[in-house]
Amino acid sequence: MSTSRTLRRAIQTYAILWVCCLIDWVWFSRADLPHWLDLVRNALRWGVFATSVPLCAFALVAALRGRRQPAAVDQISAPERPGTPAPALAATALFLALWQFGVFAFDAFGFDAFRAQVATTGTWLSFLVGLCWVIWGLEKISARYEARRRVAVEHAERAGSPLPLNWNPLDTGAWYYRLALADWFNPRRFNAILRELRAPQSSHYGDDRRKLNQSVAGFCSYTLAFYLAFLLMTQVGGCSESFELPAGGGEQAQIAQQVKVQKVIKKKFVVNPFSAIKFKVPPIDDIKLQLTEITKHAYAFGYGEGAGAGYAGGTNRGKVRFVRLEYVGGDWNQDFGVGADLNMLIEYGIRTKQPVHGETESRTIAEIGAVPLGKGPAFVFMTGQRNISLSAAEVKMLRTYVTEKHGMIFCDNGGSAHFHNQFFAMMNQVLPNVRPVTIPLDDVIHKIPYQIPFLPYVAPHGGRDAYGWKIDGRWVAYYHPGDIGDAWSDGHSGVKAEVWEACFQLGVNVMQYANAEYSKWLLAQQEKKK
Amino acid sequence: MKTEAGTAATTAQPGRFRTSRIGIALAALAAFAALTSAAEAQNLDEMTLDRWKKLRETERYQLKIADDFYIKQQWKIAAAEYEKFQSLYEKSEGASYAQLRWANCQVRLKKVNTAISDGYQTTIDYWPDSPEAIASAFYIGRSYKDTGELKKAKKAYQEVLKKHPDHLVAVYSAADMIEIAQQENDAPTQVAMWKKLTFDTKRTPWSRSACEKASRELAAHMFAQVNVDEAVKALETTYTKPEQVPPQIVALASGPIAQMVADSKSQAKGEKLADSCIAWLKSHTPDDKSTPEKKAIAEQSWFCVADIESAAKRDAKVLETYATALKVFGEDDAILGRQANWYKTRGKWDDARKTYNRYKNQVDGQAEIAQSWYQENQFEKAANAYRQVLALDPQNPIKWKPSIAYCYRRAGKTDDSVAAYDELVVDDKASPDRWQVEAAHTYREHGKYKEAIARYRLCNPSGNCYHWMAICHRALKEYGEAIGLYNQSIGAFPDSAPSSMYQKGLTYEEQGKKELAIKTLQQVCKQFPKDSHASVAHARLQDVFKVTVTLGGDKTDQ
Repeated sequence: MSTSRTLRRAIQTYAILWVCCLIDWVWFSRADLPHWLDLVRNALRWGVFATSVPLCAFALVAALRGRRQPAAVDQISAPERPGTPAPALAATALFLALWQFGVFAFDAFGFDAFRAQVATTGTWLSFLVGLCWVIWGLEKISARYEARRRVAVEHAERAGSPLPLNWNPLDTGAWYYRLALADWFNPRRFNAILRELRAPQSSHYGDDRRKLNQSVAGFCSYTLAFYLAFLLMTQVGGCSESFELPAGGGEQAQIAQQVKVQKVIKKKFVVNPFSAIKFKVPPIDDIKLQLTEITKHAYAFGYGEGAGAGYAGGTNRGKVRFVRLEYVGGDWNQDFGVGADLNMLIEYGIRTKQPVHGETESRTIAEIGAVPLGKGPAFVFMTGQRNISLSAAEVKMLRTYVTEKHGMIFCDNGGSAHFHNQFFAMMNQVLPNVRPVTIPLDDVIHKIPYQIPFLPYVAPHGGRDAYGWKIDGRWVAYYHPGDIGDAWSDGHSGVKAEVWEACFQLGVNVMQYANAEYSKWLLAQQEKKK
Repeated sequence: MKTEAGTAATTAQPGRFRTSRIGIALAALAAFAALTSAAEAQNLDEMTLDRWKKLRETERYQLKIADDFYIKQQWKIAAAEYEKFQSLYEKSEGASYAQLRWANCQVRLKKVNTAISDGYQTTIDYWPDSPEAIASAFYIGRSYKDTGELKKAKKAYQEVLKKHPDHLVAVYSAADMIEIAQQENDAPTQVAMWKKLTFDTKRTPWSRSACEKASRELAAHMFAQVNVDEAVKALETTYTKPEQVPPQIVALASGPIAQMVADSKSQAKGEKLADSCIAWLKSHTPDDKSTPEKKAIAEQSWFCVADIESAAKRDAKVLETYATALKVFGEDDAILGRQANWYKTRGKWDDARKTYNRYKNQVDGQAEIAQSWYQENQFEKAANAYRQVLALDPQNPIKWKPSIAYCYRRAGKTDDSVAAYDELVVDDKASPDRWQVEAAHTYREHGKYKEAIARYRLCNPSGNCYHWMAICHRALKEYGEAIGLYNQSIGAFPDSAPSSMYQKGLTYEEQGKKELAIKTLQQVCKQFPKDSHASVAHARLQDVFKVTVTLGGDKTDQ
């Protein structure tokens, strides 16, 4: 008995631990923790999730064996009592553990396509498995209630007293299961049936449909509950993320190109050929010029005072991140990830010497909206070629992000004049009192750190001018009309080197501008607090 | 598709007579806007003849070279030439002028900040007493406004208004201040600037347009405030003849009235505004009907009353007004026409036609009836009505037959339509080719591609019939012929070459020749990187063929 209780407790403890790890992984993955704590958390997750599969498999084997060789009744643990399908329970647990571990492992190793496939398939399968359990449970419970009700009806018939209305949804005898669909829309008939149902002799009213009605209600309720649980797991974020800038400092100044010329002069001997002294005339030496073209970083890239390239408003653990905005209606993920916008982030890191995040990321507008003040990304990147469909709440979140939270939207037209109109319409909603203007080529955003002599583009989807939305002297949105993302991607869309190089330079400028402006604001906030 | 729509728009047909009128009006407006903007530039960045006289011959020669490039909009060269002038003749009378124009060139080259700091500000600093310094002060404000620096722009404009209140730059500054105030929802500033331009500014050829616009906007604002007297006072500064004011009241008050009446909260306010407008209109309706002109003016007032009643959704009163007008002026086509038009706005087509039937001028009346059938999308009835008009007015076949042909075309009656166009080919000696093209378009639109091709072959090739023939061949799956025709079109019509080449790519795609399609679309991106077809080709290469190397890429003109 005591062994069984210890085992049960161990199982319960393990189950609680597994659920905690799951909640942490689903909702709190992006929480900013110290490095050591992050390591501990990861180790714990791997340990718990990885052991769940063999444990469940073991449980399944044990359950199957137990079925073949039934133990003495007093030795049977609770899930194995007659009537409870222990192997099915263990199989379900194994399925859930396998599914969860598959998604977790693929996510950890970065196999996004597999992760998505496993997650989707698992969701559908879990729906079906859950539905089987619901049907089984309903069948069992309703049979029990049916027996009880028969007894109650007999008593009522004998006593001649009226029956109370049955409201229990698990009982097929509930009054609402007995009604036909048409009865609900006929108030007179509805009231008459309700009166009749109280009489014991009418206990068989609607017997032909009550089972079906309960099944339909059960299915609908289960589907709704599953959907809500799905939303809870996928949409509700836990603690908000923080996107801190890297600490450091630097100037907002143009990059300087310097050419160093070094003359290498070999020794020359001036010799009189008619001299009596024998002297072998050496070949006339030429002067070799050693030309070294260097790009002198006379300053560190960034803004403010601090050691190394970075931002005075940043932190030591901060990194420059490239966050893409997920939105409904279009192809927000165009040119996303490895071989595409990651090239831009890598180039930014190489050219500015600032620490950058290992990958480009995407966030929903709600996630960006949930980021606390002063912890947000300095800019969010947006692209696509189809529709942009935002809810009123999302519009408000974006407005707060660019105004109160001092963020910036960096948009690239990924392929159509339609997207140009969509983005402008979106900005008209986000900032109704700000008109878009053409950004001059000698604006600071086109000058620092690289002087952009022309606006480079791959294809003129939205014209040939960069547009901006300015509030209080700060660009809060930068719109590039011609697929700059294609120029960043592998192969550069076949455009000339001059153009794609300018596209990278422009990308660096916009990112640096957004980060520097954000850092300025952070410093101003800190000053205010003092 | 765009080209097709463009050609269809030129097609003579009744429903589009109004469109063409609107088109003409828009073109006139655009021309007016261009003229006014040119005039503005001319006034502010041009040098007076007196100052030109003071220049030496060499200076004049150098400035003329620079001005030629400036007029040709070759901004980079013009800027270089003005810079040259500056370095050669720093103390010349034209130095400030050259500096200002150099700055304007920088703005056109999208270097607005350079223009402000090294151009306009330099003009103010080095030649503070020159006319260009005043202009520069305004241009600084405008440059700030155009780059979204609204605070700096407002500051610059306020400075201009303070320092040069009577100069033209004050007018332009006030106009720009109105725009900024509108953007910032700053009603007091808007009203102050409107009043300044409407009542306190002298109307000159250069300031008139801004002042008139301000007076109309002020009037609209006053109508929205249910202040009819103030609104009319503003309008009277622009519309000096008494008969010009009533139509403006209708134009500016109808919108606010309709908007207020539609909402139950503001309905009473709307009714009040309508009553005030009508009271003003009735009190200013002339009684003199002695000449046709005076009668027309008096009728106009009645129409305005009816229009205001209509905006206030008081239909019974609209009919009452027209009935009274008919009693006062007798049975008149103009009044009947207005009444019938009002019926049409209410969807009462039969009442409208009954009213048109009462026209004294039967030709006009029947033409209006035909037009109303067309507007109701009853094309066959419209064609028959136009035939009746032609019977009443047989001297003008070229006026009515295109409408008959187009109505048959819209009704899907190919043969009748083409027959009418054929008659026009014979009747219209001046431009028979136009009707051949229309007949060909009719065949094409109705899917008779072979007949369409035969017709296009009869047309003058200068109209780029190759393009249309290619479309027909594509529809017949005769891809080889279509590609040949697109090649001819690319060679003969350089302006439409990007479109033809893109279509050629699509033809290869339809034919299943994937490699050739990709190659052709890449060619569009490479050869015409600045054209909008490059954008479409680029997107198609990526979306349909999943080709990332599209060979596009370009930089903007400097």
